[in-house]
Amino acid sequence: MAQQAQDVRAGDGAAAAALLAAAIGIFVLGLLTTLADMERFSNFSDWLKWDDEVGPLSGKSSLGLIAWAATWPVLHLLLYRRDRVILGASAISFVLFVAAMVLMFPPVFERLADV
Amino acid sequence: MELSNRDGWAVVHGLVLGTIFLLAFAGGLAGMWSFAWKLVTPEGVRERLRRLIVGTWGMAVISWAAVITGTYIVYPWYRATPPQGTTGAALEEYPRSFLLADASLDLWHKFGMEWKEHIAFLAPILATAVAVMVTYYGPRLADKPMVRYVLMAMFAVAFAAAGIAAVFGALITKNAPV
Repeated sequence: MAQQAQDVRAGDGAAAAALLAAAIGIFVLGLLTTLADMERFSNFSDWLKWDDEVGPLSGKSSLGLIAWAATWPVLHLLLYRRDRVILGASAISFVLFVAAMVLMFPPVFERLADV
Repeated sequence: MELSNRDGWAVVHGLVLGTIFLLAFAGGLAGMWSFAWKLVTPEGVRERLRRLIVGTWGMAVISWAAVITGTYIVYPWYRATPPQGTTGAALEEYPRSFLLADASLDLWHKFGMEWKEHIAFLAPILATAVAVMVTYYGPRLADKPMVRYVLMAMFAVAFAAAGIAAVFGALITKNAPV
């Protein structure tokens, strides 16, 4: 049984799942950062004030962390037995990460605020 | 000389936790880079693995502590709304409003703080993922260069995010201390 567990851990699927889940959590944070700043979603921005003193950052960050924590075990179960999936996961994660960085960059989300 | 409660938390958040995380990065990266069978003996792998697990978990915990103290203790002081009619020196008690009231300083909030407060969350997410993976793979990590490279990349992004947050934190505090 222990030997079997060791063999399962020899694949790179678990690392791919960890990477993808982190990228998804970061992307959700980036997306919410832009949405919360948009005039047309001002009600959503108010809803994100999970903590009055912290403001919308409390909701944005919590939802990003929830997305990360919820997708990780699911992706782990889907991928942990697989091997040679790390490159594909890296490519997808890179796209999500770049999108998140753009959406999280103040000049971008401030420009989109009035859209 | 006096250190107020606010000063104390700002020091814990930025100077203590933030600095430890940034300093520990180089050790973690070097540890993962050299964690290969061709570079170390089996005994060396066991010894380095222990250090790597303790180091990566330590960095994950420190990054969570830095982000939580920053978001839920220091940031509310920064973004507090002043009573109506507050102007001049009295506005200095309300750093965000103080910065926004001055056209020569407002970018510290509009760009610096707006970027810092979001990007800082990358550090604990990525550092935790790295710590879990180092623990999960254990000595197998020495056989898996691609996994190590990915973990090192995640670690590097966590460092960059923490670095951006730290630099803006220091510069914003210089212009408008909490």
